[in-house]
Amino acid sequence: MHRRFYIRVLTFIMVLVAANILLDQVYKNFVVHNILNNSKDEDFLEYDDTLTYLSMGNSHNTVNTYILENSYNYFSPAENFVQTYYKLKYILEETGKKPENLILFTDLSAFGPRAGNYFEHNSYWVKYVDFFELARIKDDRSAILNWVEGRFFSYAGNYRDFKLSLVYLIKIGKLELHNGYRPPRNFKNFAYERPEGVGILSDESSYDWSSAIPVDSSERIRRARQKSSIYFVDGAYPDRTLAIYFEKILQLCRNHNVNVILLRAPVTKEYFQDVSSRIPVEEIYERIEKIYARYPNVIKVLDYHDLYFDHPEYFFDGDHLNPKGAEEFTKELRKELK
Amino acid sequence: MLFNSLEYLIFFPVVVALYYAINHKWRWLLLLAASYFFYMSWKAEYVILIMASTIVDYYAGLQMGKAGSRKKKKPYLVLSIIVNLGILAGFKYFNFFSENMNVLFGDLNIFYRIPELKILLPVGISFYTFQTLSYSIDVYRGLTKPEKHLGRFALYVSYFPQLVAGPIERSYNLLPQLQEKKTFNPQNLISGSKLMLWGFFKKIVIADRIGIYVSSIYANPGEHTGLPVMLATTLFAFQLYCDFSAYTDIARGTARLMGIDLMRNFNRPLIARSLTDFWNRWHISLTTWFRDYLYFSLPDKVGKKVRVWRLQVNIIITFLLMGLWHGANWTFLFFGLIHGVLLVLDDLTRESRKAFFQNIGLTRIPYLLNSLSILVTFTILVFSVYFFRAASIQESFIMIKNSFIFDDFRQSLFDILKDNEIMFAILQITLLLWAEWYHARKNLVKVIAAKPIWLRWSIYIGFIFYVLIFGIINRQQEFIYFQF
Repeated sequence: MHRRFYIRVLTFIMVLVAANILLDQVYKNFVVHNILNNSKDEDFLEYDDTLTYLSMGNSHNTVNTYILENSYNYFSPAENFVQTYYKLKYILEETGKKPENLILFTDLSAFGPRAGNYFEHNSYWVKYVDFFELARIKDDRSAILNWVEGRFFSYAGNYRDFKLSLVYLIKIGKLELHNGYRPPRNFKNFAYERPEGVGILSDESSYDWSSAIPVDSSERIRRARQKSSIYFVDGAYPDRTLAIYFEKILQLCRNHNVNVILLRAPVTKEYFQDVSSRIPVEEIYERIEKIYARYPNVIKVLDYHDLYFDHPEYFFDGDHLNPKGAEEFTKELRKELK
Repeated sequence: MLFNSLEYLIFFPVVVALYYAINHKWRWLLLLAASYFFYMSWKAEYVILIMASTIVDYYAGLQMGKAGSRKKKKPYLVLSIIVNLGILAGFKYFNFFSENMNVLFGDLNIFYRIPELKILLPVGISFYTFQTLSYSIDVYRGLTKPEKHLGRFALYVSYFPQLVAGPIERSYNLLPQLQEKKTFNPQNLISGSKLMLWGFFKKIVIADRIGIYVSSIYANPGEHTGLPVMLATTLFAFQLYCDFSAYTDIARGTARLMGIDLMRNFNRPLIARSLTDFWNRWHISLTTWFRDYLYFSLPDKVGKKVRVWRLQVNIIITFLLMGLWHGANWTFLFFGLIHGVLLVLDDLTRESRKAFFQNIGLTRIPYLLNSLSILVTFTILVFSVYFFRAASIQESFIMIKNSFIFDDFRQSLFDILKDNEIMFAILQITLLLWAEWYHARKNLVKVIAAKPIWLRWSIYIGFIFYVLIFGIINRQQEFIYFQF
């Protein structure tokens, strides 16, 4: 009886493992975040122009590389300083590419406890991030869980990505990139950022993005509140782990003679007001300043947070520029960097 | 160490494998070491509290065993009660007491402040102190014999599957099982694993998903009105059930792998037809604890006669204390008070309601009557969880008031309907309720087990991946009842 039972248990486990490998591979090869991020990796390796500016950060990084010459926009969705550090380390130490300047997006949400505790798309990041080192620095074993998830269970908890991938496969197909920037021609490359809900199966190419941000100010306030309540949770600002990795980025750049330009991206007035009511914004920036003040390779600190307070039409939502906004913003940035 | 953590997924199979690998004589030692390790992985120094409670109750139990009469036993029982409730009072209720006294002193212009203790609430303190207290009371009452083996008794107090969130086991159920020689039984492995899988489904697919929405609404109590507040509170009732019953399922599943049967803690409480019925189905190990050790001990006579009003007062006292058991906050006291008062009303109006239903002919349509009863009971539950979820009484009233402000009903409804996560959560709740309903009638587990192997395995493997894909994996959340 027991022998038969053990054989069955073993067979069951083997079937389970095989199904897991299959699902893991399907996710790693066909799911949109990996497609996007991996395409960018491949595209970056093929980039052979002068690299004057390398811009990194999360989706707030909307540097239009058509406008800012000799630049590469290497943002990835929900990227935090931990991930940026390891990716930059890889770029500087493994690819033989060296930018003159790093443009690093330093919005407050990038320093918050949520960003420090929330590691997404681990199946992509596992090739860069040393999760074991992170676990030691963070003093939190959950980083190892992120590694396990990225290595063996990439699909776990990511049901939305499967749906989203269908949008890409059916509606979009191949991703278009220009030095890391997704050109806004018919906006189709922005499909997954649609504010009504991630990955809605609809014809994104005909969507009028200019209507995404509501004209009505009270509705903009409501949406701003909704969003900032997600990002600005209770906890330490800057988050301890993120502060450490932010400094590690600056050290890494100093060691490789890379100048750093820190940048606060534009946000809507409503969004900024709501964030200010939740956390002491200026006080936190003073704390951050104490970190980067020690690094002479930080050559510029550009604060654009209030640049478009009177232009809600430049935004998708409270803290994301739309293609028109990105264009205007990059023109402004180019002027500043000249 | 959380059940829904990587550590636990490595820890428990290792413990179970070692449990069967070593001689029965040493199993208590293995489980005791594993239990202390499990607890110490959270905050090592607080294991001293468990040890103190263990030693005192072990000693009290032995002494009560030696003492013949109840009168001689009494001092040891008092010792056990003072130590356990003292630990609980010091670590859980002292700051609540000092905070409120300081407010009172301020109002009375008394310039004295009781200092606040800078301590963290030890995880599971209310569970293990109540478990060990039940042992002392049972020994006092002669319902259980004193345990002579200190190690085994320590294991009874700290057995890891149920240490931090129950079920609160009785000594006469758990202690004999810890002594019995258990041989490996494949059926236990299968049924224990199924129970754990069901628990993981409830926790990471339903409770954690709902939790994200509920937290976003309750994080800003003054900002939301109407439908979102009502929905968040209704969903919280489901979250509470799924979260806590999931813990019990995983605890029972883990224990079953070792051949140990822990008591059932939930019996489909969300389909209760009255509040009395609800409390017979919800957190059974706690409600029976309060019934057996508090309610039955409260005086019910005035003179020589049992008085109904005394019993009703006793119900309210019991529920007030049961509310307070959940946490040192006025909200929990209020939660208990509401349930206590409504239970008395339920009792008082039972006959007149029956007569009313008969008069209007509702008793002739039992299906409708049952559905209405379930709906009314659930509505009462939702109303009471406003107090359970909010951070303060004021916040609870703000949320209740805001629930009935429908300034932008259409917009709110539209927002909810287009929120994929909420819609998905509601779908999962429907699946859960259907599965529970079906299981109560036809035993879903047996129905699946009777299917051909290819189909059975497809269902099991499919469900495992369903939980993995649709679960909230990246944002590991604690079980709600850990804080109690």
